[in-house]
Amino acid sequence: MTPRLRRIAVALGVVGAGVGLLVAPAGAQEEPSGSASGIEGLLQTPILELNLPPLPLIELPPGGTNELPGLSVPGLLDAGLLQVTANEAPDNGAASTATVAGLAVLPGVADVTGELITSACEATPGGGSGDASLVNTSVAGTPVAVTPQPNTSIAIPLVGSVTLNEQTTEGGRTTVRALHIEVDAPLGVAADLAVATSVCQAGAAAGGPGGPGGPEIPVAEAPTPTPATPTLAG
Amino acid sequence: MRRVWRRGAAAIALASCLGVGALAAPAVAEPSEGPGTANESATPTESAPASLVAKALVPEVGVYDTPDAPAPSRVLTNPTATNGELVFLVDAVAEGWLQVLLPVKPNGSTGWIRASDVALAANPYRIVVDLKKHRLTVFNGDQRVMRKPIGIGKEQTPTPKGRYYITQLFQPPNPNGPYGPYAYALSGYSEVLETFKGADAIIGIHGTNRPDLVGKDVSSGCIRMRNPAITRLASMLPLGTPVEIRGSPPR
Repeated sequence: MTPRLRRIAVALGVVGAGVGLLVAPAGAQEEPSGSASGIEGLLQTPILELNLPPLPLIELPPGGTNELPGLSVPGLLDAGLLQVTANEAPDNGAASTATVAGLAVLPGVADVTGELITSACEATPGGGSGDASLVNTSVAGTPVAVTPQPNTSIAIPLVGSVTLNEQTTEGGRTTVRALHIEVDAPLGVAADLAVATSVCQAGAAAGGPGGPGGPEIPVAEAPTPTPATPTLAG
Repeated sequence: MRRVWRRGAAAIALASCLGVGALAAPAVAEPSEGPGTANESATPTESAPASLVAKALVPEVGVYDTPDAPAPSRVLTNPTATNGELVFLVDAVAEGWLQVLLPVKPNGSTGWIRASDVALAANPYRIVVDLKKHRLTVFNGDQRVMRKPIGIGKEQTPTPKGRYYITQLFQPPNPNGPYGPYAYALSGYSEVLETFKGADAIIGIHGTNRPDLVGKDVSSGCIRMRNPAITRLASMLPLGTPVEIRGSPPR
């Protein structure tokens, strides 16, 4: 919550004491936090089951950068340089990035390749945001947009799906996965891989949730649309 | 005497009394538009506060002319006739009561509702529509996050100036139709059309299947955006987002 929102909350808390509707948002915390990872998840074949931990991983706190020069599971997964960062940002915020170069996942099955795959997120007490960039990236041989809309899903018939720029927000925590590869293919090949994951959660505004500043109100979010043709003066 | 928090000057005075700093009213002045500002990069603008959104918690919300009125002057149903959440934009807060902008005729109608009938949320977003420049700008607090060209009402069916708010988001079954993939209903109505296709002539902000007409005076009062822009807004703006429509199109 921004200082301005907090000021409104304070004013309401005093003046509108009878309102009784001021609540702290779920997940409010004092310090910013976050993480970033290059590749993590499950790879499975009839002869191999591999649970990949986040490689590489950086966490905030303490934050900083981490990288791996490459990652290879022959015939299943190859990646070049993997770099991740997670740091504090102004206004008690958090910012994370994850970059994976030279990606190739399940060639001949899902056939996901990418020259440079990046996710990034930022969070302040007023909210979080994120995006993904997919340079020269293809799914099942078909090129995809460099900056896809959040949560763009691409189905691979008989194989599974890949979600581009997958974004979730829960309890004030924003998570962006540049690619989320989910495969359940014939012949026992399966995968649930997150590529270039960034996670951000802001700390409380000074005097905000959990602090000495007083009551809070939740921040409004975008609604679920009504599935109907509107009656508007078009 | 009832103590009231209001948007704008009263809020400034109150905040000052409380020692919590100034609460500025939603600004009406836009920053100057320089080269390159048509893109969507966040640009610092004048300071502006969050607004307050009130969402109904009960099936019927009574609207009173004053908090002391013995009976409501009207009752609004929740969900609405178009199966949407009943929401209000809050103008003032008193003990147990909220003064709100209403989604009814005439445009700009306000009334008082019981605070216990609604849940409050803060909303950092606001929209400014400049009819003269055929332009819609979205702010998130101090930051301008979108500026896009728009189509507006024809001379015979102008887009009404005034202060409104978003009441409902629709997702038409045909994203390639005249409303595009998404359409917002606003709290305002056409001031020349009583009805439109048999329904109230509600003003909206929506996509279009005629992107070539964006930037022109073409509609029956609604504000038309290109489909990528309205799609982006659909995942961004809460119900209750204030919409200020100002300026006059050159005729």
